[in-house]
Amino acid sequence: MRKIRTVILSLLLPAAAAAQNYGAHMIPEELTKGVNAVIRQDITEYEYQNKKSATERHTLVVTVLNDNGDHAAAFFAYTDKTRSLKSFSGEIYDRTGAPLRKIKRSELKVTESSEGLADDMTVYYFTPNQPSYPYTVKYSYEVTQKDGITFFPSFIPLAGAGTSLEKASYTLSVPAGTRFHTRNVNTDIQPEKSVRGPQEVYVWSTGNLRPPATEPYGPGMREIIPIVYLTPHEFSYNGIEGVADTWENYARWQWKLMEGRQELPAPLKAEIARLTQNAASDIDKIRALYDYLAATTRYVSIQIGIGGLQPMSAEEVFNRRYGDCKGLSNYLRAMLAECGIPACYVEIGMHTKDIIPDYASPLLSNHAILAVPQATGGMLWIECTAPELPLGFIHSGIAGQHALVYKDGSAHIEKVPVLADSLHLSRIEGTLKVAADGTMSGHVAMTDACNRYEEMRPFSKKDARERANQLQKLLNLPLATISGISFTEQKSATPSCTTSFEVSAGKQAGATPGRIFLDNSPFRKAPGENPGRSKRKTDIVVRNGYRNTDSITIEFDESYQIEALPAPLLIRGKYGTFRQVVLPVGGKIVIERLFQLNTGKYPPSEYEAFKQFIETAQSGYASKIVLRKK
Amino acid sequence: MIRNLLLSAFVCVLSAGPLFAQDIRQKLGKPSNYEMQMTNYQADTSAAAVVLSQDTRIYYEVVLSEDNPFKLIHEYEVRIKVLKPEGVEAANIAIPYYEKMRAAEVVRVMSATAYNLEGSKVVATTLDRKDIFDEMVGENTRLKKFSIPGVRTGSVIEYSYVITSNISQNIHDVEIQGDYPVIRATGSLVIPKFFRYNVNTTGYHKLKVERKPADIRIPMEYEGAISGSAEMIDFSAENIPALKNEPWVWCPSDFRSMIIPEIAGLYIPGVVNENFSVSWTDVFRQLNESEAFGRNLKMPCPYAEEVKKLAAETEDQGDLVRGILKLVTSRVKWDKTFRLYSDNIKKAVRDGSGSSASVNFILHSALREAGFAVTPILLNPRSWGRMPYSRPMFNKINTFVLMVETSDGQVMVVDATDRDNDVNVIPPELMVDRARLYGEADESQGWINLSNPSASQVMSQIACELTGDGRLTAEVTTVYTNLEAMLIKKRYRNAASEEEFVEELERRNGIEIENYHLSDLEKKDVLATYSFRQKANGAGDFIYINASVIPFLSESVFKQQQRSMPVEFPYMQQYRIECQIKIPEGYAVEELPKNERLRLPDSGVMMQYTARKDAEGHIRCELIYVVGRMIYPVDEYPTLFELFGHIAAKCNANIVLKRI
Repeated sequence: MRKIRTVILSLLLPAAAAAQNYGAHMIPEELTKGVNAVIRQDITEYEYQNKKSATERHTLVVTVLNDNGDHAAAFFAYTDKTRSLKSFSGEIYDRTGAPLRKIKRSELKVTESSEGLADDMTVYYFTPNQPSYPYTVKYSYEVTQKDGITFFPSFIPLAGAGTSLEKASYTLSVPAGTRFHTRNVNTDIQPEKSVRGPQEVYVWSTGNLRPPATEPYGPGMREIIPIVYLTPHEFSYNGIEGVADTWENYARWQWKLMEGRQELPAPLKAEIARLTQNAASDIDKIRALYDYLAATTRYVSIQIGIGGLQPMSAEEVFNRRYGDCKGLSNYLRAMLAECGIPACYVEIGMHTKDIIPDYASPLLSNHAILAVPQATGGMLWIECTAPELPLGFIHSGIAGQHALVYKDGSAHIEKVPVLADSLHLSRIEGTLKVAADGTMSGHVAMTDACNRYEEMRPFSKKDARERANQLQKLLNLPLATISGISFTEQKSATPSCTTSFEVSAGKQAGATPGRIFLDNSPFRKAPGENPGRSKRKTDIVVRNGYRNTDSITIEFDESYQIEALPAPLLIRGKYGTFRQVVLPVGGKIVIERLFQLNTGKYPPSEYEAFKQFIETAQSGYASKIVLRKK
Repeated sequence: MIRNLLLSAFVCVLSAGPLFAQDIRQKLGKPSNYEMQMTNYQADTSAAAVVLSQDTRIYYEVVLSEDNPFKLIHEYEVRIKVLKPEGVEAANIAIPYYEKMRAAEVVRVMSATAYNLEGSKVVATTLDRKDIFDEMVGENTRLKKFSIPGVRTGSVIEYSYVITSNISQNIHDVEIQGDYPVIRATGSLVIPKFFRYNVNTTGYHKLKVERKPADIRIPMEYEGAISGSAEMIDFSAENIPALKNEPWVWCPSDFRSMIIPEIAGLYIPGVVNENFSVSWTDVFRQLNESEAFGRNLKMPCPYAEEVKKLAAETEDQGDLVRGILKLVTSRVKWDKTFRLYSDNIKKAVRDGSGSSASVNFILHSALREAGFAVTPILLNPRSWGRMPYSRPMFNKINTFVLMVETSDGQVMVVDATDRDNDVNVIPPELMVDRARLYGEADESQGWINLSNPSASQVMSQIACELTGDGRLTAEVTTVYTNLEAMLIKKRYRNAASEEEFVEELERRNGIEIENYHLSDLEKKDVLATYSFRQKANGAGDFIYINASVIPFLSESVFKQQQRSMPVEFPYMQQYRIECQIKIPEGYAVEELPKNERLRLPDSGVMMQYTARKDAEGHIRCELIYVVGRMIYPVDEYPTLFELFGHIAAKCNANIVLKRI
C-alpha cells in the first residue's frame, strides 16, 4: 500500500514541480548575482475582440531576494472609465516555492487620488510584506476595456533597477485580418505568428535579462528600456472613428476632437480687440494676448474620459479661467485666430517621452503647446502653462523634442530647436577680502541664463529668509552669512536673471592658526556628478550641456602672504572645456575659471577619458589657496 | 542707535494687533475696496496670498429619532486675497473627510466665488456645482475637490462649506495657522453639557479664548423643543504668520496655532455615562477593557515552542530577551502602519505582517511566555506630534513599545517594528521624550523618556602614512554601537549593492576604498574595516593633511540663517576619531591645528580637537563630537548656527608638513 502511494506521488510530483516551482533556488545564478528581485514570469495575453472591446490577462511572478527588492513585488493595476479590473488572485510562496497563503481581492487597496483637480483613474495596489527572504509572489488578473482602444498595451520586458527578468511574454490575439502597427525601441525582438481558429496570434517572448545599468552620466530610461509599441490601425473613441497608421492620419482624428472648440464668447472678443488695438505687429499682438493669458488664467488639470485627449473648449476655459495644457493652448490659439494670427496646436512628449516621427501612437506625447509660423521661417513656440516664462523662450522640457504640429486638418512633425550649450550660462563675478584678523567679506553677482535661468526662477518666489538659505548652500566658506540680496530678471527669448548679495564670514579662529585655507571656488560647488569608478557598461550621455564662468578677486591683508596657489589648468576637448587660472596680481589673487560641459553621447570605451575630464575640472574647483601669516 | 530705535518702534507697530482690521470684512460677500486694492501684506511681504478672514463654527444638533442623537456640524467660511501669481494655488481646494460604513461625514460646499476688479467694477465669478469633484483617497478617507474659477493675481476668493458628521465625539481640530498668513481668524464651539470635553490650544501665537454659557435646542419626540444648556467657546486670533516647514523638525504641526477639542465622555443622567478619557486611570481602564488592546495582552504566544527552546538554550536573561526579539521580527514584519490597537493578530501571525500594535502584542506574548514581566509604553511617533503633559488624549497615543523586566533586575526597552532593532535600540521615530507607562496610575509618575534608551557611539581609528609617490594610505577601523549600529545596518541593507554602498562612502569622503568589510550584521554592534588611498595635497615644500585625515562635518549641517522653529536632532550622537599619521622621512611638522573645545551649554553640541607629535615621530590627533541634547530652542539657533560654522572651519583645518 505504502509503496503504491509513493509511486503515484513520484509520478505526480515532477510534473507539478515543473509546472510551477517558484523556489528561489530554481533561478539561474547569473540572474541573482547583485540583484534584489527576479521577475520569474511576466505574461500578458491581450485579446482584442473589436474596436470597442479587449481583454488583458496578466500573470506576474516575482521572487524577492532581499529588503531592497520588495518594491518589485508590489501589485498595481490602473483602471479608468473604459478599463476595469475584472478578476484578481494572488499567492505568496516561501523560499522553497511552497505556498504560504493566498491573496484575496478584498485585500487590494484602492485609491482614486489624483494629482490635479480630477481624473478618472482608480489604482488598485497591494504590497506583500514578508518577514523573511527570499519569497515569491504571484498575481493573476484580468482587465477589460470597453471603448477608446487607441493603443494596445506595450510589451516592456524589463524590470527596473536591481531586478532581473527570467521570462516575459506577450501574446496578442486579434480577429484574422485586423491591422495593427508595431514599433520596437531598444530591442529587436520579433513575434511568432500563428492562426488559432478565427484568431491570429502573435507571441513576443524573451528572458534572462539582467537589470539595466544605472550609471552616472548614463542614458535616460527612454534610451535603455526595451519596448514594443502596438497600435491598432483603426480605432474608435466616444463614437469618433480614427486611423493611426501615420501621424497625419492620427492627427485627422485628433482634429475632429478639437473641431468647434474655438468659439469665443462676445465679451472676450471685445477684450481681444481692446488688447490688440494698438499693437503694431503680429508679435506685439501675440505678446499682448500671451500676457493676458498669463494674467487671467491658471493651470488646473482635469483628465476625465476623452477629456484626457480632447481640449476643454475655449468658452469653458474663459468661464473658469483655468484649464490644462490642452485647454489653455486651444484657448490662446482661438484668441490668436480672432486677431488673424494662425497658430498651430502642438502635441509633444516631455521628460520620459518623445514622439517617434514615423510611428504614430498617443502613448508618445503627454503635453500640448502652440507654434506660430514666423514670416522669417521657423516657429514661435509658446508654452501656455508657465506664464512666468518669457514669450519665445524654449524651455528645457520641450527643447530638442519632436513636435506634432497641427495644421489644416492634419499635422506634421517638426523638431523644436535647441539653444547652444554656451547660452545656458551661469556667470559669477565676485570679490572676497580677507582682513588681518582672518574675517572675510565679499560681494557676489551671479547671472544665470536660459536653462540656468529656468532653474533659478523659483528663487523669485521665495521670501528673504528662504533666499538667504538657498544662497547659503552655494558657498564653500565656513561661518559665512549672506545679506543684501537682490534679484533682477531680463525677460527675453534668451532670458537671464542676476542675483547679487554680500557675504561676510567670521574669523575661523584657531582652525590652523598660522594659515588660511581658502576654497578657490568660494561661491560655487564643483559642477557635475561624481563619475564613480565602476566598469562602464552604458553610453555616456550628457543631455543638457552648460557653461559656468567665475571671475573672482581675492584681496588679503598685508600681514598675509601667499603660500600656495592652484596650478593653472586647461583642458579643451569634445567633452567640454575647463580652464582655470589663479594668479597673484598686484597683491591680490585673481581667479578666472570656465567650465563648459558639452551636450553629447559617447561610447562606453571613452569613459576613462570622459571621467578624467570631469575629475580634473572637479579637482580644479576643489583646490585650495593657502595664505600664511607673515 | 537712532536706526535701532526706529526699527524697534516699527517692530512694535507690526506686532500691535490688527493692522487694518477695520478694512477687512468678516462676512462673505462683496469685498471692501481696501481688500480689492490691496497689493501686499505688510507683515509678510513675501506672502503669495493672505487669509483675510476665516470663521469656524462647530456645534451639535440633537436629533431624537436617530440612533445617535447628536449630529456634529462644522461650518467654515474662508476669504483669501491673492497677492502674487503663485498665490492662485490658494484657489485649489481639497477638503478631506471621513467615511467608514455608517460612521460618516458629509461635506456640502455652500459657495465658492472669486471677486476681481475689472476697471472700477467688482466682478464675481462663481463655482459651477458640476466642477466639484469627489475622490476616495484611502480606506476611509475621501476628498472633496474644487478649483474656484476666475482666480488671478489680485482676486479676492471666498468659499464656505459644512461638514456634518454622525461621529459625535470626533470634533475636527481648528487649524488657525497654515500655508498663508491669516489676518483674522474667529470661531466658536458650542458643546452641550451632556459631553465631557477638553479644549487645548497649541502654537506660538496665542489665541484669545472665551467661555460662556449657551443654549442649545433639543427637539421633543413629537413636536416642539426644549432648551438644553451648553458651553460656548469663542476664539479669535489676529495677524498669524504662515507656518513654513523647516528641516530638523519632526512634527511641524506641534508648532501650529490650533484649537484641539476632544470629547472625553458622554453623560446623560439616567441614560448613559460613558467616559472616553479624562485621566490616565480612565485611559488604562478603557484600554484594559478593550478587545483590541487589553485582551491582546493576555493572548497566548503563537511561537510558544520556539520560545521554550530559546529559553532552554539561553542562560543570560538579556540574551534571551534579544533572542525573543529576533525570533519575533523574523516571523512577522511591520507593515509600516502605527496602531495602538489590533483586532486581528491571528491574521498578522498567519500573514507574517502586521501593524506596530500587532507585532508588539506578539512580542509581548513571547516575552511573557518566557516569564518576563512586560509592560507596554504608550507613545505617539515623533512625526505625529508630542503627547500633551496636561491630560491624556487618545488621538495622541498611536502606538507602543515594551518595557521588559528580568528576574535579575534588568529593565530594557524593546520594539518589534524593525528587524535591526535590538535591546534598548528602537527607531528614532519612536525615541520620544514623553511616553507613558501603561498601568502607572500616578498622574505625575508614569512618564518615560525614550530619547536615549542606550548610548550609541561611532569610534574610528585611522592609521596612515605618506608614501613616496605623494599618496596617503590609511587603515581604518570603525566600531558602531547600539543605534549607530542599527543605522549602518539599515544603510548597508538599503544600498543597491555592496559596491554602491562603498562608492557612496568614497564619494562622501573623496577617497578610494579597498577591502571594505563589515562584521556580522546579526550581532548587536558592528565593526567596519577598510583601507584607503588618497592623493596628498601639497605645494612646493609643503604637504597639507586634513585635521582628521577623512574630513568630518566639513560643511555645516545648518544652512538656514534664521529659523522660526526649534531644532530637534534625530538622536544623541557620539563620535570619536583617532588618527595616527607617520611623518615621512625628510619632513617635519610645520603647523598643527590648534587644540580646541567648542560647546553649547546644558550638554549641547560639543566638539573637541587635539593634535600632538609623539616621541615616535607620529602625529596623533583626536576629534570628538557629541550631541548630548536633542532640542535647541529658536533663541539658541544663532549660537548653534555659529557653532557649526566653527566646527566646519575646524574640520577643514590642516596639518602642515614641511620638507627639511
